Amino acid sequence: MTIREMYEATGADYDDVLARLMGKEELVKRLVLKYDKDPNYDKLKNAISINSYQDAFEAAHTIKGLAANLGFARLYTASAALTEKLRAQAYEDLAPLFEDVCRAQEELLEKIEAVDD
Amino acid sequence: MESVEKEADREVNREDNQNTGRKDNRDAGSDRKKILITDDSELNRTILINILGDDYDVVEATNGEEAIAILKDQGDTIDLLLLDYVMPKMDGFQVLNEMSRFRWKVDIPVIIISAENDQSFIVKAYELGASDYITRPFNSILVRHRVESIMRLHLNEKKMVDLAVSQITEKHQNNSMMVHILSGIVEFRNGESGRHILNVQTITEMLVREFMRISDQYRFSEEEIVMIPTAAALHDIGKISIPSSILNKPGALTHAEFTVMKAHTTEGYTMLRSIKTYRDKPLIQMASGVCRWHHERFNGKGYPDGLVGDDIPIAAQIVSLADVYDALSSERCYKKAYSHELTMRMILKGECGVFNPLLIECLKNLANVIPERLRDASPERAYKEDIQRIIENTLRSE
Ligand SMILES: [Fe+2]
Repeated sequence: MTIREMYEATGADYDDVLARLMGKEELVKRLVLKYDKDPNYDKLKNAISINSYQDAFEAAHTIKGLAANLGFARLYTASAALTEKLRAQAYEDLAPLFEDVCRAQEELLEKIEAVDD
Repeated sequence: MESVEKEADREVNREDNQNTGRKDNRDAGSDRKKILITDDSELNRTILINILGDDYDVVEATNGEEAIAILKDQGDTIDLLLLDYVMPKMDGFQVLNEMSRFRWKVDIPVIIISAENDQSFIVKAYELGASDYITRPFNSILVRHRVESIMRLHLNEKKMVDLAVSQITEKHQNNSMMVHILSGIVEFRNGESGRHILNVQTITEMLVREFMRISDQYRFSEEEIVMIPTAAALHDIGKISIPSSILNKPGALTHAEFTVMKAHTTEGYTMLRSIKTYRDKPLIQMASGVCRWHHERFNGKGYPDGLVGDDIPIAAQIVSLADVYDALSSERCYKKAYSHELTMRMILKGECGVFNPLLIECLKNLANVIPERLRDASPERAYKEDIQRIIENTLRSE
């Protein structure tokens, strides 16, 4: 699928992303394909699994920023919610928010996978 | 993607060969401006490089510590800092704090970029000296525009300040020159390094600023901040009345000789207070106090009056600590120079008497920047920096 189709399939506003990145489709595509290799999701998973909350906060915060800039709407909403929970140190009820991030991330990677090179 | 990374690598490599580039020839005109991008996320850096790389040279740092190291090394060639907030090791605010400690913020404008959009957070960024704040998601056009206008603004302000500095310098330099000549004569007669006064002034000013940063106990005005180091320059002026056989005696002083030596405090005080015309001027008031009480100690074990704690004027307390630091770390007729580390250890162990614990805290905080600042200091530079600060503050408060 095309990059536009990928965005639309994840319920995100492609035109908005494009406008923010100088209208360069090629650039958006390069950045999106690069997101695949971004280490922050693994860092987050790892930090959550060992209850290392400061690291988890940093990773969630970075994911939130990336998702914002790249217009990954669902991932943005999920990671923003998780970031705030971690900031508030409300560690008891992290699990559902973390799972939201996982779902959004996996859905996103699946769609990115399907983008034609 | 490949090309972006190569571009970045090349940039970094080019940097390594460029450390000698000075700021002055940077303003020459056609030179590309250089931006330091600090962000722990590679993808974020890539986005910014794509937005700015065509128009600017870019250097990258992956965390706050790296940014500080790069600024230390090649800050002279960097025109703007784009700074992420949440980073491992040292976050964006800590970087701003470091920068103000080294006084780099005056030379390099900082734009914070963060996904934080809480108002109080943004206000804090400005308070810490950021020039601008960009929230994610950002628009590339906006980023370019902000970067360009902040650079232009900064350059204009710098030009204005430089102009004012040169005019005011012209007018008031004689004043400061007289203080330097006077203190220089005393210094020469004492057989001191020739840098003692300057070092005491430099450390005094650093301590004053750090003291204000960590404590609310005193609020010094910008004028007072300039005045304390000037008063510090006169701290030993009373030595002019001490026989040079005692002043420059290589070995230990006898009890009687030491009694004579101790009188340099009250002598200096009396000298300055006896000038009727100027006696009431704030500088003379402060300087005479510094002369009299710069050998007092916080526990009352000093001289000449044995004052205790904050009965000792704060300016004198600060100068006494600066004086001790420089006396230990410089060569004297009766001793060799001690290393910075040994000097710190001796002061912290209380081997030179008891000081205000808050000031000791300040000294500890400044420990790793003092040697560098002392190396870089020069009378002209210190003077210009003073004037520059007064003007910047005036401009800012308008
Ligand atoms: Fe003295």
